[in-house]
Amino acid sequence: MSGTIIEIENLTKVFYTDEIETHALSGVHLTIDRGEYVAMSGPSGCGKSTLLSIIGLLDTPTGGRYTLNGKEVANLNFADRSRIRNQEIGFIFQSFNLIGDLTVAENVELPLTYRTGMPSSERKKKVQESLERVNMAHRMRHYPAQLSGGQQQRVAVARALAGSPSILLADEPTGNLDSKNGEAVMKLLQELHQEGATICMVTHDPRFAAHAERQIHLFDGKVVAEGELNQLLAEV
Amino acid sequence: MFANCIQDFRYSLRQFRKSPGFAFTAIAVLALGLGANVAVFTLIDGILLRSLPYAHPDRLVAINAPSANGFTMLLNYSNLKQLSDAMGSRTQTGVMLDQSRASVVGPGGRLQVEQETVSSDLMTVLGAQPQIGRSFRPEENEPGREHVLLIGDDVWRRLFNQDPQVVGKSLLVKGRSYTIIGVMPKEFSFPFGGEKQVWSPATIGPQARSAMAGPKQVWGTLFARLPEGVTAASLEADLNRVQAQIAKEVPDSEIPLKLEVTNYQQSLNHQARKPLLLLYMVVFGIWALACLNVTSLMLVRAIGRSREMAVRSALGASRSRLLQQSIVESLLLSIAGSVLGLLTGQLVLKVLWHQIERNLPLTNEVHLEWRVVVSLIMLTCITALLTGIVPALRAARRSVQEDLHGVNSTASASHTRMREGLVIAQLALTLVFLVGAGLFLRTISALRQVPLGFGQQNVLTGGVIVNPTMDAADSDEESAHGLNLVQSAYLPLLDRLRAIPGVRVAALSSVLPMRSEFAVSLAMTLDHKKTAYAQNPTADGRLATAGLVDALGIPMMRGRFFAEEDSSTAPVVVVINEAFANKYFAGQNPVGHTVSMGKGRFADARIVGVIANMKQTDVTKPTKPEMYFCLAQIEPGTPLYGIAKAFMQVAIRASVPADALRAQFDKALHDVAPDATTTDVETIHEAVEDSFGSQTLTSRLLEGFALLALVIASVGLYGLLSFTVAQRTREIAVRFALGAQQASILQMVLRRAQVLMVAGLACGTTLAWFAVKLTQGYIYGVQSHDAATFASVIGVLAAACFVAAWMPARHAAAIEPVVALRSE
Repeated sequence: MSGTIIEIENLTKVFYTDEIETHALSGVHLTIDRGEYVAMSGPSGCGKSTLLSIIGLLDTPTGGRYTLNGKEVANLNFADRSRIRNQEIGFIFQSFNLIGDLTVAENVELPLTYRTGMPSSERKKKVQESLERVNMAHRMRHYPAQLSGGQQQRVAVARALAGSPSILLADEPTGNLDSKNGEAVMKLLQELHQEGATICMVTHDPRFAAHAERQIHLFDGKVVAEGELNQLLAEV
Repeated sequence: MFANCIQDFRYSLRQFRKSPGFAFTAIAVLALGLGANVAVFTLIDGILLRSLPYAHPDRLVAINAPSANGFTMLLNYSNLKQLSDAMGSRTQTGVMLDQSRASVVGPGGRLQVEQETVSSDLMTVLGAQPQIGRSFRPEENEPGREHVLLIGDDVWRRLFNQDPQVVGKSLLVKGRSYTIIGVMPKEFSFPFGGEKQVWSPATIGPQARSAMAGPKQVWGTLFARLPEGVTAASLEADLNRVQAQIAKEVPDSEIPLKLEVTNYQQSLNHQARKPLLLLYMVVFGIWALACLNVTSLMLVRAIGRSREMAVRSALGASRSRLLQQSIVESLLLSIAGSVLGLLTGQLVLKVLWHQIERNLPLTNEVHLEWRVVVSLIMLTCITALLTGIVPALRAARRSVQEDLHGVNSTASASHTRMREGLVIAQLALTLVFLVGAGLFLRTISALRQVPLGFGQQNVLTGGVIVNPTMDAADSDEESAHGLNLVQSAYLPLLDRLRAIPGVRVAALSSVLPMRSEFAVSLAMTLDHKKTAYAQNPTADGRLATAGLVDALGIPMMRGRFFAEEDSSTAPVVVVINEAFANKYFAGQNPVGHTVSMGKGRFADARIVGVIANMKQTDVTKPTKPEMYFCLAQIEPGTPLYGIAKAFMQVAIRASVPADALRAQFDKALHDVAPDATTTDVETIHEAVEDSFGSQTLTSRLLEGFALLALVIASVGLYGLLSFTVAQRTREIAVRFALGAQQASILQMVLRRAQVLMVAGLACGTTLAWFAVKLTQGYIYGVQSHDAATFASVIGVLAAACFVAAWMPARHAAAIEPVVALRSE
């Protein structure tokens, strides 16, 4: 199945704090096709995390159009955004964000519990498959605190995969890992991509950005070409 | 060490300034907990703990003769003297013979004083010496030598403007001139707690000293100071043996056989002991609740400051130093809470003073004293330790490395369990208080439902002391002079009261319901049937005028009540109540039967009517047989004239407001008898409410404390859930990121609250099930395990929990995931 999953046109995001108006995104145009592996990079404050939040429906844009799987999602209400997020998007965070009171299996099952009508047996099956996919099935009864950072991130990947989302959004997935574990997670994402997953990853590390098949560079809230970025960075 | 403490104090103050919400909440909760303790302990100190101002107060005993109907009978002086002699020379004794009120005039103006007529040795027993002048001499009980007077300090100040030359001056009391021989010390009173007292020796002539029966007897209560090695119980046993012997030797004396020896202080405060101890248990629970609440707050705060503590530790602070800092913080909070609590406690006493004064004895001794302050200081230190130790231990046991790196900035499972345990404990304690308050509310409601047998609407009542010029012992003399208080004062007063515009009916009676001040038990014969004295019918004797049943709305069951034609020259008539009729005229019509009391006109009194039973002193007790005599037929020399002289009460049913009537009542009385005074002028409804006694006070206090507990526990639950939501903000954001709907987050928080609530309610119900046993004897018209009360209380607490949980749950559901995740 091919085609465009994400289509963004002239997207803007402005933060208002007291008298200050901060333009985090200033007319971003972006498309991501199904099965694509995209890396977003740029200096701190360039807007890459804001863009990822809007893509992940955690935030709403101030202006512009955002189409996910052919549906306009820029101005949905909270409930609709939650539902689409649950069904279409898988998140992988820099700090794993596993819930300490839940076991590995319960953490992976969590997004599935927010879906109505999915039987427990099916949830269990998906959890098992997801954990096996990241080689963490043997730790399913453990708590996050009993795992290493690399293992926790693999569980986070399993949680993102469990709901069979249209796209995986990874926000600096190696940021809290040492180089060895970081490489292992990148390898896992690579494998997932090869199996057909669509991935959009934010990273500031060029070594990891190189794993993606396409790199997008952001600067001052705009998507710029790689050559242009180097020139802009040099000017700064 | 000291410098460190000062530094910690300064740092803590700075911290409180930075977190005013936390400081205010903790101090307010502690102030409520400590304030409730201060208030009740002030009462306990004044009423139960403070020693009476007599020599060896613990050895001062009263010797009483309890009667079968619950009253205390007086003993004749001759009997008392024999008992005193039996105690031997090692035991000092004294007798209190009479108490009456009198209006006296001195350089400072007019004053209503209480005259205590005593034996001359009483002051020696009490170990009391006048501050000015001398005490009584033994011979001053002899007729003709008894016109000497000791006055109280307040009388000296108000009547004589503290005149140091007061000794030797004269004071006219009830028309008799007394020479003042001394002024008692400021703190002295006897009977204890009395105000504006004067003491004079009783007239005890040779006949009164030896009379074991007949009209020459004088009556009194014996007081003794136990010698070393003698207990009240052993003295009681000895005296009962002696009394049995005396009764054998003087068979016609009809002296009571059973004597009781009671510690004087206990005899004054024994009725207050149980309600005060119950209240203290309640306020102790409130204090425990406040401690639990503040401990949770401190724990939450400690968790929020984990990194700060880790940094301190990394910089070299020892565990004991961290402990010290936490304790210093809690000590500061406790000190602030106790100061505020002290003020709150005293304010509570002030607000409830009317109720306290009405329902508890010895209240004029209740004031803030060093014992209260010392106990507050001790409680403050214990509070500081209890509330500071848990967070301090937590701070001392944390892993510095983890906290420094923020690996686990949230609370651990064990601390979460501890906080949740604290909330469950708070809810459980609150439920116990609510059940207690519920039972007392039901009690008051049940008491109000009891049929009283009279109407409560638009009836003003009040006591009247007409201040006769001669005392009750002089009826013969009074009669000889043609003085008759009934004709000269009471009946004219009644005419004036009836003439007040708006007054529908006015009547006089020696006893009015719920205001009973004199209980007189009469023995009589019916229809001239001779029986043994012990088998004679008995009844509570009362005096009344025509109109009493109309004034109080008492139904007539048979015959009629007194009428205007029942004058002093008409045949003597009496009215009985249903209880009397049922007991002594079962199945008969009592109207027309005769009652005999003594000789003369009262040997052939005719029953003319039967009134319905009405509650007299206690709505929970059955009505006793009563017999009413017509006041207009009472005159000096008749059996009940002494009652009429001592005290009468007025009942006025009117269409005008009670407040307007009070002034008119005073004016009418003043017109008839300028020296007369009124006592306790109040509506009959107020008298009924006052009659509920300590139950009303306990109910009010319990309601207040239960409400307080509800607020504290709700704040505790709210605080815990708010903190949990704050701690779980990132987790909740993750859940949102994974697709959770707001409703599911709302449910998640409410479910946690539900678990805590159910655990709290279960523990509380179990605790309350056993705790309600303490209320037995206090509650009326409701079972201690009343299902409706338990169910309502559980409902109220559950609703409060829901409200307390709803706000943090709403807050959780409104978390913006992107903001929460970005903040990471």
